[in-house]
Amino acid sequence: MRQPISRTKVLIAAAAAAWAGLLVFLGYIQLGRWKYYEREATGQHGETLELHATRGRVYDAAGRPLTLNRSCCSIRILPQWARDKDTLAAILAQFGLAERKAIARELYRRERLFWFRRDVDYAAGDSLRRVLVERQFSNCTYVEDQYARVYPHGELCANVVGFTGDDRGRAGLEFEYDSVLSGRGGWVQLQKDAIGRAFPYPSFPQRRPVPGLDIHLTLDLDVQQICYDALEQRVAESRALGGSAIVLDATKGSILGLADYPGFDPMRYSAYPRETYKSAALSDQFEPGSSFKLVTCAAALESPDAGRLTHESFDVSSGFIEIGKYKIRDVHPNGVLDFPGLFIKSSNPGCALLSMQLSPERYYELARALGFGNAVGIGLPNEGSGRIDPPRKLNRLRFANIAFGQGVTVTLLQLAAAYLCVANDGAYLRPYLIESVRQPQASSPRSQASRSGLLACLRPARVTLKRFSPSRLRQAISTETARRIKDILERAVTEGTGELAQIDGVSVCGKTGTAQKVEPGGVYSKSRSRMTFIGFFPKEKPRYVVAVLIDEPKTERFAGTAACPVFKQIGENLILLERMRSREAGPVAGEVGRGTRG
Amino acid sequence: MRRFDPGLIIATLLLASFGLLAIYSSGGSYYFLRQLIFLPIAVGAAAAAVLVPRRILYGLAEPIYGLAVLMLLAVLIAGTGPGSHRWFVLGPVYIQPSEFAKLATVLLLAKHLSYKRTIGLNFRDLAVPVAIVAVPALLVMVEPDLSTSLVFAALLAAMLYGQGMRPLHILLLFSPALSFAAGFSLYTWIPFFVVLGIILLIRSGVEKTLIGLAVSAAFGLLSPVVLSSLKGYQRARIISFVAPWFDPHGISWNAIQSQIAIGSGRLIGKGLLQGSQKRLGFLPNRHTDFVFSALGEELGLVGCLMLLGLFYWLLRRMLMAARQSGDSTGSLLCVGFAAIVGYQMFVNIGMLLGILPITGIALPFLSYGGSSLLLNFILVGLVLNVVSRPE
Repeated sequence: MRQPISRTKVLIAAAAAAWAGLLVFLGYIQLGRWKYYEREATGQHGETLELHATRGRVYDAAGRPLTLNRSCCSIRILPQWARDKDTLAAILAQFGLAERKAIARELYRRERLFWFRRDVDYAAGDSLRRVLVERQFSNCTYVEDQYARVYPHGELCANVVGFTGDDRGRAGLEFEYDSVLSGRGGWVQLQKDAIGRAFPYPSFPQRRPVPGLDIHLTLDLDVQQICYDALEQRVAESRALGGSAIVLDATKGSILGLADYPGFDPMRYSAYPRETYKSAALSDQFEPGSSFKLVTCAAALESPDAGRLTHESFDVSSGFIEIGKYKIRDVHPNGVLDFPGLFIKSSNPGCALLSMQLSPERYYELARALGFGNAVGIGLPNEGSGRIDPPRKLNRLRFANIAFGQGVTVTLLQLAAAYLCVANDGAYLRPYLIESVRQPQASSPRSQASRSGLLACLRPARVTLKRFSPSRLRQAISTETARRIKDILERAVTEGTGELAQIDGVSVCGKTGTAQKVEPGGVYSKSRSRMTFIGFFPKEKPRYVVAVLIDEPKTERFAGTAACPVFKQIGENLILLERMRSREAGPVAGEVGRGTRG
Repeated sequence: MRRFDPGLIIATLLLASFGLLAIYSSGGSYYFLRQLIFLPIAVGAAAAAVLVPRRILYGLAEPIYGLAVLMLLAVLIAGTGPGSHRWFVLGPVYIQPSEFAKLATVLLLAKHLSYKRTIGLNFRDLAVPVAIVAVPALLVMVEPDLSTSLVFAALLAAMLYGQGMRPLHILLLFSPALSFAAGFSLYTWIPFFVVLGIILLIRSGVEKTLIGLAVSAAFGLLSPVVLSSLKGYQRARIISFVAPWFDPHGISWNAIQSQIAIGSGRLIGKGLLQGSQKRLGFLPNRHTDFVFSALGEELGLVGCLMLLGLFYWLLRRMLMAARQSGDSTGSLLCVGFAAIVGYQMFVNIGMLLGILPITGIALPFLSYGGSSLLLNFILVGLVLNVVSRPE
């Protein structure tokens, strides 16, 4: 048997060669081209179906929701897979989605997957889904559960909360904290078998959605309403372009109210111009005018010559002073003013005279310490940082301008923060809007229950993920300086330009500001200006800082008449609100009433 | 007992276990249990095959062959199957006579060929061997089960080669049939014709070349003539018979599905029972002919390598048994059996990888099917018999 022996070797070699060929091809398919085949595989199951994560909600300080999620359905159709387009159109028409003929036309016109309807009422969508399965259209229709964002308070908080479009935050907190609120979407690979039936399968690859986190604000809806109403009323009376108001908790720096008028309806945001989406109180940078004299006052009191300066008198009886060829004027001649008088009467020439005895470097440092030139950073988009030029860029005239609030830009929030600093005896507190970021309430009990008993004991559910507290950044001015400024600001209200801001029974400190707008030619406008009043009360132990801005009132020429009544109205209502809340039995509803007198 | 080959037994059992795993994963517990019941029967049959004296076996070759042919005839009349006559239904058991026909054919062919010292390309030497193979092959072909009938051609070629026939002569013997098959399309026929001519010119005289080419050409030309003389539906039937993988959309759904399943398995697979292609029904016949795709999807390259390694080991042991055998009949038996297992493995895996056209052929030891499992175990048993007891 000679031959078979040698020939079996050949056969073995042939088998080995063929075997090696299989091996190479196998390696090529499984290692070289797996990506292609995997894509093919998932492609065959259809697309992956998105599972939407519940978007986190935004709450006010008392836990009242500023956003809600409404369940709805969205319908997608893949017409090329429909076995009978006319019947499908008839079914869809039964649910009142459109007229049968129109739907049929659309189905015949299109081939590929398209969004048929979004934001369909949930009950209708759900029963439609069942009917589609019964009538065997589930292979070409996808009725997906979705959430529609609802803003129960509409334009009241729109400037803060913003809005979403296509499930993404587009403005406000919704935009800035989109990644926090949106959570993480999940998916299932579309459960379709070879003949196009869709069915659930537990071990199918999928990723569960992780709901978004809730954001709790320091904002108080009632305070917000107070501010908004006051602005609305005053803007209408004075035929202004708009207005903003900020209410800060003077002890903590938390933002209780942040209102901009006119607002916009976040549910119909596309009907409003883009510029209205932002919060003007934070993003509009303007020349503050007299309200910036706070810095000048503080700089003088903090200067080494404070003793001399405060006893000096400033002769502005001519109504103007000249620096070079420029004249700095007062609206009314004020005679000879003492140091407090400069601010009480809000004399521009007086402040200019004072500035000549101040060090620009120290002034600049103080302004920065009071928060000017830097964005406050409360977590809303488009926050303005303002601009204050460093001393090396200034000449005498420009410095004198800054001393009474021209040639420098600020935001209303920065002004409020600076006055907050004074109210807090010189400690600069950073205003903040977000109280905490928490796990959504609905999901936390479930996640707790799913944990094993032992683990649940060992590790309590972390509901609050991050809590923000008052941050005392620095002592910007000395306590003594702050006290003296308070005295001056009090007199500015009782004797000076802010008389209309007085509130019965409470000592108010504050300062007006009338800042002319710059006309296109680069000159200050005679008629168009921003009126501000920033103040706090009560003087002895301030609880609120309120900043008001009225933009271009037509009927008023000065802040004293344009902005002060708004401040007064807001202040009175805040006190009323406080009283109401402290009278209510049970737990204190919001931050306002907490720790205050009855 | 002279020698024993534990490697062969281990390889066989491992392959069968792989098969059970794959059947459970892709076919579910029903098919798994049925296969599990068949396994001890198959092991028993294999044991019997080891123990039976080969002299008796050789003596029974003709009756066994006759029985097989009778069964093939009977299945044509009384058989069932999807659009064909392939199985007998005996209560809960489906019997596939073509599996036993393979065994019987190898047995009789080995017995017959072993009498011959040389085999030339002439009628005297080849008439009987070809007839032995052609009868069951044609009977299987009309079931219709073309792919299985091709197994007979493979084992004939291997055994002729094993008994010393010149490879050139084997090529010439098969060239008319190959020419006929290739003749359905010019794109396959012309290359085939050119290659055949070159080989003939190199290895033999001009005269023989011309004769060989003429015969091949005649058969090659026959197939388009046959095809065009048929009516449309008949032609479609012929095409689907000769080329069941052909589909009018130009897409070979099954082959693509199989490749997708294997390819998406990557290195370590999706895990047992996790194959999405398989589970969602994209893989056809996933517990029978496509069982390797299911394994490829779920166990990945690692699993496939283990499986292919086992197959290679098995084939090598079977062919080594042919070398070690004391008698030429036993040696030819081993070659024939190796041809059956090897052919089916390469064709099955090759078609699942997209190298070869899709034909309905089972993967030995792995695909679900009692007859197939039984036959394959008997094959291994007989090989063990040959190795362990020289006559």
